[in-house]
Amino acid sequence: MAAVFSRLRQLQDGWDSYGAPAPSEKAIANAFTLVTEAINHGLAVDRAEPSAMGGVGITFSEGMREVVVEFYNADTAHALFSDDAADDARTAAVPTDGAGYKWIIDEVQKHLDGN
Amino acid sequence: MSVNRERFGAADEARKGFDPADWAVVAFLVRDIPPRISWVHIVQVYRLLVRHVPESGNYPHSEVRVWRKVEERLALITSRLNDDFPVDDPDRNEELGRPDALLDPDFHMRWRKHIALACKLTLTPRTVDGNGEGTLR
Repeated sequence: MAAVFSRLRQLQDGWDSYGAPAPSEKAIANAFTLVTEAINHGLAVDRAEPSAMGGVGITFSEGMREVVVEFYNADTAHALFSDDAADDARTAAVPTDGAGYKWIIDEVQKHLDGN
Repeated sequence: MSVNRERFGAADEARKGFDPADWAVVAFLVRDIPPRISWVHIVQVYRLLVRHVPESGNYPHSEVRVWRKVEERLALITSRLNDDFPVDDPDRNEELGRPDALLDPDFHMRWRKHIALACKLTLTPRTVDGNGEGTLR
């Protein structure tokens, strides 16, 4: 995962050939904090990737259930909780502070567990 | 979103210039793109259109473009500038707005999920054996 974040830091504006902004250091740092906290809580991270919105997306999944948390360059974050089997999806804003990380990790765990 | 349109070429052309061992091709139907979407919890209206945008060496290249209604006008959501569009592009003179200003994360994340679910695997990554015969893996 450290190598992935290293590559994220090397992206330039327009990395998608459509002018997408490179992830900011703040977005990368926020995403890295979530990944670190998630691993500390025993959650496996599927992938980390740049967002065309400008930022970094972190994906967790279990079977047909998935959570994507996107950290944007403006120091905001948003999450999509989906269950393909139930054809269900909801979104939520994620505060980028200590309480926000604790909340989203709990929510990710509950969603992946089917609760 | 950058895509290739089947009407203008075969699926394999989507990975032309790339190692087919590394790339699969997935497809969705044009009708999977709703022409107008409104997410009811936030009063926002988006419009989506497919444009054929041929590229050098990739004639079928097309783009799914998204507009958002802003004060009764539609603004094309893009990080590009007007001059970045080809001179014959029908949207070259559109009013533009940057994704970070106009693209609500709710819409962006739900749209991406919608298309991911609509996608069907068309071509798997391919290896070529010693006889030059294409095999699937």
